[in-house]
Amino acid sequence: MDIHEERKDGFLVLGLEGRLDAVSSKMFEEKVLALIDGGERRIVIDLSRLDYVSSAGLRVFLVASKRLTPAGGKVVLCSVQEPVKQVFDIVGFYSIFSILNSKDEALDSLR
Amino acid sequence: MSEVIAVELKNQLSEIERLARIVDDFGRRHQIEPQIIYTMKLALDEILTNIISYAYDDAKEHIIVIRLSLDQEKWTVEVEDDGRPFNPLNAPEPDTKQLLGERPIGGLGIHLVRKLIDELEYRRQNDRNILVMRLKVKGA
Repeated sequence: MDIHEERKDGFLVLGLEGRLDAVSSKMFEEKVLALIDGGERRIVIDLSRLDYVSSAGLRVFLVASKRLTPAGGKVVLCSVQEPVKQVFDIVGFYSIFSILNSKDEALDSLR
Repeated sequence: MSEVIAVELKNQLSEIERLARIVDDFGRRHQIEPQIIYTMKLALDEILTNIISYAYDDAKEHIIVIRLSLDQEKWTVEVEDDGRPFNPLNAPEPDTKQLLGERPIGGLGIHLVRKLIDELEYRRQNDRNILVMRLKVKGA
């Protein structure tokens, strides 16, 4: 999996591409936690190019959000594609995360 | 058309992606719908991640055997390991209605498998765990 990092309007956008599984989620978790420790508080995670997620990956979204919420921060997810969407549905992610249709909507929601 | 294949995996997480490619090939060869192939790969990933991460009390190499077969209506995949007894059918159900703050971080993998797989069977046989997963397929 590749992680594309970009800064847009002052917010951090992480674009995930490929497979987020037990192997790649370790790298992703280290990356996200290092960013949070470095002071990032509002993070958009763009899933438009993520074509696979397992529970190991879902766990990282939960960990990041649990770390940021008490600090007054927020993780927003956007552009979820079909196979991943089904997984999000099953585990009830739509009721606990802000999940928006596009990166622009995600950024607007943080303003 | 019927075909049975067996694959031996080592207890390393990197083996899961190798298996995913084998499952892809098997599925495509038999014209199984992409959505069904995806579901089987995800269920296998969850089960194998669990086995490799938690089933062994030593640091030795273990072999996990996967068998794939197909008949008219069902795609059957068996996972056999020599780890400690674990029946995923008895694992507690996570509460997916819980809010983030009170939500435990683990337990989602087995939940996914139970939701995704049409038929799930477990038995402990000769000190081995055998999990059988079946998905319905259209006119294979």
